[in-house]
Amino acid sequence: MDILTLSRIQFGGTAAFHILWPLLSIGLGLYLFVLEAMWLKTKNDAYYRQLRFWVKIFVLTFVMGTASGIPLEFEFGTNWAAFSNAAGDFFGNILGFESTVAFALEAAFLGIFAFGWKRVRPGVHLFANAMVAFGATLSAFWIMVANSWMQIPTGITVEGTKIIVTDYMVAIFNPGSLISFAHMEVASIETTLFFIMGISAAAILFAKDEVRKKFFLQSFRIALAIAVIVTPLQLFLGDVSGQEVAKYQPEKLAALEMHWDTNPAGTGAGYSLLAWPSMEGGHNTFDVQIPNGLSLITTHSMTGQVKGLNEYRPEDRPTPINSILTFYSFRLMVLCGITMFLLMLAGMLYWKKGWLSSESVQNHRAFWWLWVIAIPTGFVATEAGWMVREIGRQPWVVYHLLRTSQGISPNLSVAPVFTTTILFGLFYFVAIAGFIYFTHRIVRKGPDLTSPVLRYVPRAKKEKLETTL
Amino acid sequence: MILDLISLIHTYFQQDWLPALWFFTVALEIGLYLMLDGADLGIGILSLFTRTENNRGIMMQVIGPIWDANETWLVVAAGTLFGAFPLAYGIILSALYIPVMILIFGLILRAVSFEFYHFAKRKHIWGRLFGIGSLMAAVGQGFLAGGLVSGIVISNDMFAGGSFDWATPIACGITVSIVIAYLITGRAYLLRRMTTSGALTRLIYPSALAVLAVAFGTVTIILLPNIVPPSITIYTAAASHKTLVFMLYGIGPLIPIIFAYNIYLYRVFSDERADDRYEV
Repeated sequence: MDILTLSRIQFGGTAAFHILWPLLSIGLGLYLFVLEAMWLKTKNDAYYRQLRFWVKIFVLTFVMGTASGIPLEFEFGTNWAAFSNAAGDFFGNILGFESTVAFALEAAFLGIFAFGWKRVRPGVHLFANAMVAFGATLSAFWIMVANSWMQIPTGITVEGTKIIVTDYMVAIFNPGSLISFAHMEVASIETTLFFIMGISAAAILFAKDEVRKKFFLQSFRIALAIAVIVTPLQLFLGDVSGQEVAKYQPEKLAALEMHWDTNPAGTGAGYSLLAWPSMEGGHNTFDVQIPNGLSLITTHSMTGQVKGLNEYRPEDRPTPINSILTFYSFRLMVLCGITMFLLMLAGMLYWKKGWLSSESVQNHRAFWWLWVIAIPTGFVATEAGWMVREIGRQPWVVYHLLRTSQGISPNLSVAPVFTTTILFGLFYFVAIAGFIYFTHRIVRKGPDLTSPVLRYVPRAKKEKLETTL
Repeated sequence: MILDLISLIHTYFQQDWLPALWFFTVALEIGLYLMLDGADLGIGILSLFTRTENNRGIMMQVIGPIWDANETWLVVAAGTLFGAFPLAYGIILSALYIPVMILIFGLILRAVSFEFYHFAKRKHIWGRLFGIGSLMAAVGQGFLAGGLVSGIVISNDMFAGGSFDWATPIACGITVSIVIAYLITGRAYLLRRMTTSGALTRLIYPSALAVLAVAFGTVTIILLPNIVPPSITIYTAAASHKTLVFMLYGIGPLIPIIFAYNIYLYRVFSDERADDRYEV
């Protein structure tokens, strides 16, 4: 295998693995902040118990995020040195912002948040909680700014082999950055809510006692209440993102709809539900279309013209394989988004009927199982969305300025890249398995509902651990 | 006369002071990383030689609340290097691919096994992996530093050497020194935290830190004006003036703030309390 393909697999794999954890740490961070604020406000210890339980899973995801974020940051240099040099003037700076401002905030306050219950006053603890959540969101903001700029590079000029920033505000607030940040932030919250509801549903199904059942019914209801706003909001944000792609990356839009020929004026472009392209490109060998559908969705007119892939030279547009991946990932993402919206409606219906109570669980086991099965939905949607975003813009790494093939480090040898790719794959597999295993154990052990609430103890005179090492 | 002098300094600084400033900032961040996480890595390596699981547990408890924040300095240093010297970032990391990967795998092994250790029943497996991860990270850092100091083959502003150029006798020497320095720092940190000690014992940890700082500072200054020896200077590698200024406004004011809250973190966790072990 050549070094370019290997590096793309390695980087894509690292990114696909890494994104799982920020999804949860952003969402859980905000969820935990809501819980702690509610606890301090209402003095109701039920919120404290919820908080202490979900913190365990949060810490697990946070560490996974750090552990996989470091390779991601370093791989820009190790595997994509030419990209780092060419685009580093803006991209490197923004990544530097992300690590300094956001990540440092998150990591430093996590210690106090997780270990400092008795060491700091409640107000300081809440502040640490807020900083952890804020840090995660700020990280997401800078990362989405950097990535959007690679999609729609603005505020720059090209000097020789380097892309130099001329206007920082224009580059940071490029047309894609705010919408993609919003789409990602809400994806994190939505994924986390379905993660919390799914875990709660499983715990409700297998609860050994009423207290525990009530505990998880409470966390389910808190998450469901937030999902009422979040699930429709995400469908809306997804539509706005689509409009942005249509405007700034028409090749990507054509690929994700597998649309080859621009529809002649006066006729509509059909929307393909399923399609398969010829491997030489140029046309589909098979498709199932809704007449005028694509024109209607993209231009809001029955006969609006939508540019097809054939308008672009083959070397400047996604290959047929990349088009297939983009096309089906897009459909998978939309399907997941709609599924989550419908599940939310079902949940609200059950709530209204009074069936979200411990007496009703026995009669509605199928309903609870549905939520357990739905745990991966948000993760799948996000992965699919990133596939659309990253594969759909090939062959460019910085849109219309730098090709992915031009970004690779010169003088890399196949052996070390191959070996590390295998090792990363192995590690990611073990890490995901470990995460599922330990999350399962945490849930099975259940919340601690009896030990005394940890409160601030002012510093006593120095006592040392009596140990000889 | 005075105005002339001021304008002379002004002209000089406008051209030159930003790359130098950012070089020293990156150096400071790496230096802090070595001093802070060096102790954590040293304790990790030491834990490989401890006889009981209880001792290992205590060692891990000592660094529990701080190792993640300490490791952040490496992430911050890498981010600053990427932002201020994108050319150097690409060259160093791609030329020293294997040491960088040893470092990365060491860090992820340490992080994941540390966390799984908390929740696992069979703790010794994760404890052992934690120690191995720490050792790998230290060795990776050693060869990274050694490979850089030994010089990197460049043509057309890009790496042009071989995959194993970093495996020089000097690099081996530096690696061994770094591992030993971490072991001493880690042991000193444990001593400071674990025993009610006399004034002399209390001096061991600061002394170990001072030695690390002086050694690292010397190497940094010898490198100048190169950032990638033998030929890439900080001026060739620097990002555009606009970027360096923008970073100054964006990151500059935050560095003292990060300092302040890291010191606060250390103060909060400076006294050991036997009853709050694993309070996650």
